[in-house]
Formats: sequence, C-alpha cells, structure tokens
Amino acid sequence: MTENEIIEKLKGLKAVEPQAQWKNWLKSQILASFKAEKAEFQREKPKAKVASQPLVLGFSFYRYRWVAASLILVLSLTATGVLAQKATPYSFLYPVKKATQALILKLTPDERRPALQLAFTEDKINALNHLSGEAKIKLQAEIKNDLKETYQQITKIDKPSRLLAISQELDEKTKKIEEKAQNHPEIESSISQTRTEILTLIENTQKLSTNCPNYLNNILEQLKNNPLLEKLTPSQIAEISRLMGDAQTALMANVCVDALYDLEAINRIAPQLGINLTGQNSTSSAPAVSSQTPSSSLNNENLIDKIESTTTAPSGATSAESTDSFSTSTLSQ
Amino acid sequence: MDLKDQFNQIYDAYLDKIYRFIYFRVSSEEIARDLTGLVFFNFWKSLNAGRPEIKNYSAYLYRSARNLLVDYYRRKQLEPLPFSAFKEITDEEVGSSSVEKMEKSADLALIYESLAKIKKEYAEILILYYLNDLSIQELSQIFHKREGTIRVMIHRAIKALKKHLT
Repeated sequence: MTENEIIEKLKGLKAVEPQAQWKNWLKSQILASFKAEKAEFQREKPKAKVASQPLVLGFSFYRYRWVAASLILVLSLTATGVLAQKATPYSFLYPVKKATQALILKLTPDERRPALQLAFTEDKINALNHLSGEAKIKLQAEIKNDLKETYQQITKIDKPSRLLAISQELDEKTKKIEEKAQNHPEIESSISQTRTEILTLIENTQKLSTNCPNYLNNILEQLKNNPLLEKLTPSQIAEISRLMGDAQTALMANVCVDALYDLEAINRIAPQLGINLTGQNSTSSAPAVSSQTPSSSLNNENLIDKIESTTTAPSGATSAESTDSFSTSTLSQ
Repeated sequence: MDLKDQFNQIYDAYLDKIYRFIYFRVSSEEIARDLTGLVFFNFWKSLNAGRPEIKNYSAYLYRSARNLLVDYYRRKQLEPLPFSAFKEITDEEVGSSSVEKMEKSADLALIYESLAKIKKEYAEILILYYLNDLSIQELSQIFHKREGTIRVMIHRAIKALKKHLT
C-alpha cells in the first residue's frame, strides 16, 4: 500500500461519528445543567475578588518586603500565578496578574522601577488591540495612570547619576511605547507628553552632571580645612567624612550633581559649617539648595543655569574668574 | 449572540470531530461518549463562568479532550458525568453505531487497528490532520510545537502506519 493509498484509507475513517439521537440527548443534558452551574459560579466570583484585593491595598511593602517576596515566589510557583502572568486585561486572572506586578514593582530598586513599569505599560498597549468597549476604556485610563506613576518614579531616583545610567533605556522604551500608541489616538497624546517630560528631566540632569565647576572642588578643599569640623560630635564627623569621600569620588568621576547632593547632605548635618551651594552671596535671599529635596533639585533651572554659565565661561576668562562668582562665602567661618 | 446560541454553534461544529478524536484513542464507544460529554460540559461551564475569552474554540476543545484522555489513561476510570442524575440514555436510543459499519470493512478495520499500534502522538496527529481536517497551524497550537515540527511528525506518522500495514 502506498502512502497516498494509506491516506485515502485513513480518510475513510471519517465515517466514524456518534449517533444523532445521542448527540441531541447530550446537548439537552448539558444545556439543562446551565442554571445550577451558573448559580454556583456567581457564588464563587466574589470570593476570588476579595482574596485578590488585600495584596495591593493597605499593605506596608517596605516593612513586609520579605513577606511580599515570599508571596511573589509562591504566586510564581503556583499554577494560578503562572497562568495569571498570561492573563489578558480584565480577564478572570487579571487581578492576580496586577497584584503580582504591583508587588514586583514595590520590591524593585528605585532606578530599575521606571523601566519595569514601562515594560508593563507596553504589555497593556499590546492588549488594547484585542479589547473593545468598556474594557478598552478602562485599560486606556490604566495606561495613562501608569505613565504618571512612571514619571513620579523617575523623579524619586535619589542620585542623578543613577538616572543617567538608565536614561538610554528610558529613551528607548518610551520611544517604543510612543510608536505602538500611534494606533490608539485616545492615549497617543498622553504618552507623547510623558515622553517629553521624561526626556526633559534627563536633559536637565545631563546638564547638571557634566563639566563640574571648579567651585565645587574649592568648597570641598575648604571644607577639609574648616576648623569648625573639630567642634562636631564624633558621629557627625564620621558621617561628614564619609560624604566628603563620596563627593570627592563623584568630582573625580565628573558626576558633579552627585557631589552636590553629598555637599547638601553635609550642610543638613552641620549647617554651622555654612556651606553655600547656591553660589550666591551669603546675604542673598535665594533659597539654599540644602532645603530642597533631591527630586526638586533635579528641576532647579536656576542651578542648571548657574552651572552652565560657569562651564561655558568666555574663553578669555580664567577658571578662577568663573569660579569666583560662585565661591563668594562658600565657607563662612 | 447569547451564550446558548454560541454553545449550539460550537457543539454542532465540533461534536463529531471531538468524538472521533477520542474514540480512536480509547477504542470504546461508551468511553468516547462519556469523555466527549465531559469536554462539552466543561466548555459550557467555562462559557457561563465568564472565563477568559476563548479565542480559538478548536484548539480549546482539542486540548480539553487531550487533558481528559491523559487523566483517563492515568486512572483508567471515568468520573461520573455531572448530569448523570438526569435520565440516562438507553442503548436503543443511542442507535446503531457507525463504528459497527466501519468494522465490516476489512481495509478500514486494518487501518483502525494499525492506528492503535503506532505512537499515541502519531495516531493523534493523523486523526486530527486527515480525519478532522485541522490545519498545520491549528495542530501547532494544540501540540505546542512549531509548524515545521508538525510537518515532520505527520511524515513520520504516515511512515509508522505504513510499517504496521505492510
């Protein structure tokens, strides 16, 4: 028998089929079971909802991060957890997937969190193609909210150098998301706006981070020789020594913004040392940098302008001249 | 389209195919009927429970059938049908079997016996491809294998069947 003949014979087995009477009987039996089954599932549904909520609401993640990590492990290992990772938005296992993602985000280091959040957002944008109606509108709102959160997460990165380290990744991810959003006009403008904000933040940080002005070196040198240091408590001295070491390292690596923050931290620990990082005269009413949070410092256009004006001084000016305008009263003794 | 219409449509389109697929694996009309009933009962339950949208009914039903077959071979016994409390169908009501007719044909009987002798996976793929007319793409989804692998499997399955026939 040739292969073609075997195939033809095989097709002859199509004659095997159940009897019509049985088919009708089975269908009627299955459909008759509908009411009982439906009632049973309606009772089950609220249980699933309640069980998933405590994972994301009212949970002190920092305090219980190891508990949360164990939970993630358990979730990852259980069939539900695994299946949930493939769940599409607003499907049966989607709440489990969301809860798991929220936990993972909370446990991720600050500088990795925005990129991870953007990856989750990209997934959601992909899922938009398969949704319609109310579910689609809900997911669009979720995506917009995710983008706001991502921006907030970026502003919370404690050191600008860490932001710069992930700037390329953020640029690429937001670009990819922006391209994918072109098919969804409802969210396109939000994504575009967030991307612009993120890129502006990165650009400002880059301006702050390059070409450290000489006055920062001068501040550090004068600080080392400041006699007031001896009057501080041993714990203050230890902490300040550590910060000075960090600032020195940052300046050598030309990451001047990190050096700025280390000097700000010294100023907070021992304001009596009188470090003036604004470059203003001590009598100036300009607010001290030390009163600002790191994230607000990232947006400090005034500081950016001052650093830029220092680093882009006219070619005829010496570095000492350009430094002088900032070093007035850098250390008032 | 409401759930009942949706179920009716899928039931009419796939019942014979699922039954045939199961029958050639268990070689018993009674067991094939029970397992087929379970496949569609579970499908109806999923529809009513609002489970994640089923994108590919064919793949869903065949996977469900394969899982039930695995369970059946593991335990060699069947769970009672969830609707067994309802009136049982009698042998007379089931009617004369098309399998009986098939067994009267020597060639078909030979093919049928040979199918039982080759690897289970090969038998499944031949039934699905040549009897139930599934595409390579659909087989790829059901078996979780690449389309190229499926083509190779079909080729090997035919060779294996030929070996038993000659």
